[in-house]
Amino acid sequence: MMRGDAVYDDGMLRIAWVGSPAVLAIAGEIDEATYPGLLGALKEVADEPGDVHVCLAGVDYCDLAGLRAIVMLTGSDGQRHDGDGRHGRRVVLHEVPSQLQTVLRIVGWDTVPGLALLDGPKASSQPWADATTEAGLRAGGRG
Amino acid sequence: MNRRSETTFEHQACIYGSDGQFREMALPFLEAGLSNGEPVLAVTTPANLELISSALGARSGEVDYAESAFFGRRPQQRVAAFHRYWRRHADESEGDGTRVRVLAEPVWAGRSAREVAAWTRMESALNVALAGTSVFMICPYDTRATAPEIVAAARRTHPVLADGPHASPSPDYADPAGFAGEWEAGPLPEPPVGAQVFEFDGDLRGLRRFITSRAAAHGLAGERVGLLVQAAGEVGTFLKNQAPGSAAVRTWEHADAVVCDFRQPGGSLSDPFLGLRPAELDPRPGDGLWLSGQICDWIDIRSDADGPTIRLQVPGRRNAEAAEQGIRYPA
Repeated sequence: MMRGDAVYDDGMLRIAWVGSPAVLAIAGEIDEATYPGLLGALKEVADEPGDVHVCLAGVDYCDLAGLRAIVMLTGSDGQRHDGDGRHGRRVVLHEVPSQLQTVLRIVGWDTVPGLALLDGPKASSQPWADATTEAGLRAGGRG
Repeated sequence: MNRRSETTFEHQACIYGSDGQFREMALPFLEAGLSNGEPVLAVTTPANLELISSALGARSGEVDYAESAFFGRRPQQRVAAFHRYWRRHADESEGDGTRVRVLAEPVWAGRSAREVAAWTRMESALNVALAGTSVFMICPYDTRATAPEIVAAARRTHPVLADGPHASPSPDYADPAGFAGEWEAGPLPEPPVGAQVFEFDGDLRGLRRFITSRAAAHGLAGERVGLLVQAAGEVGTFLKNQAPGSAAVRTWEHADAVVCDFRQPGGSLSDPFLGLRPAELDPRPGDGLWLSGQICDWIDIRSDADGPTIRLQVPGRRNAEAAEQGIRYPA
């Protein structure tokens, strides 16, 4: 997979790999209109081995279906009976906006096996911090 | 790993009239759970929590406790709180078949008629909403403090009655779907004249912009704006997929609340438990409405000849409790 490439961009939702080690940075709005784009990008990730890091700092809105798709990256099959997820890997969510943290807590998905929430400081030392703005995404993209 | 997947939800009422009667039911129920190694949660009045902890003696430290008034503020949030308790333990141990015991005494004193109806409907709906969990629940009803008609309803909303350590089928038990229809409140009051209206034709982004600006106009700020947008967005998504055509969305302030009302001409909703089943990783219709109910104090869902109405209500600028303490989520 090409690192530093925009995976998806329809003007409303932008998804790109940024930094090293690579983090999938998602920015914009996730609803029914952008859901197919999100799913397509996540499908690419789901086939990769190893832990997955996702930065949600730039997400302005994400409905329940979108959040579920992100949480399902753990490989949980919805029944949760295989413990740590199908791939036995961790999905690390970085800089989850407080509103989405609240929603995750309400739904109880913050404790899904295999999922970790990292409240990284918004320091520029984090390679994905820049990517949470539109400019950062463009810089990390093909353009 | 050998994980249990078979689930059984058990739901009993215990109608009691003295501390002794309460203890005779509660003690064997909780102790049996501890002996089986099951997670045990007691949600009741502060007075009964004291009774329990002193009766359990040395084992009192093995039980989880919550005061009823603070464990799920609203009926839909109470269901979710029970579900989360079970889900957490199921994930941590043997899977969905992991049995947890819950003593769950609702608070009735001081409730408005609207609230009594909502909590009574919830007691019945639990039989559906928590099917698929392995919660073993006994709901105590104190005849010294509870109106007779509320106690009578308990016999209809619980399939089994507990008396001390004994249990027997409730002869008055009513099918939850029928019961929900019977207890359905009448039509909602009309929106006030002059309430700002947005024609929602499926443009979710436009809907979010409208709600954001209305929330600010109604005095909401910070995360409360975003969460109202989230709740309204889920309603919009649901209605968009429910029937073609556009919905009229109105917002207004009412006393200490902000109200957001969706009216969709056409289509109808037939599921009386819409929005009451907790969302899981397996998607189900109505999951989004469940989330809206967790965010809002009230989610009223009606369906008549004119089509569905879904009305959300959150604390407004005149709600001193929200101003003083913020709003806790989960509520």
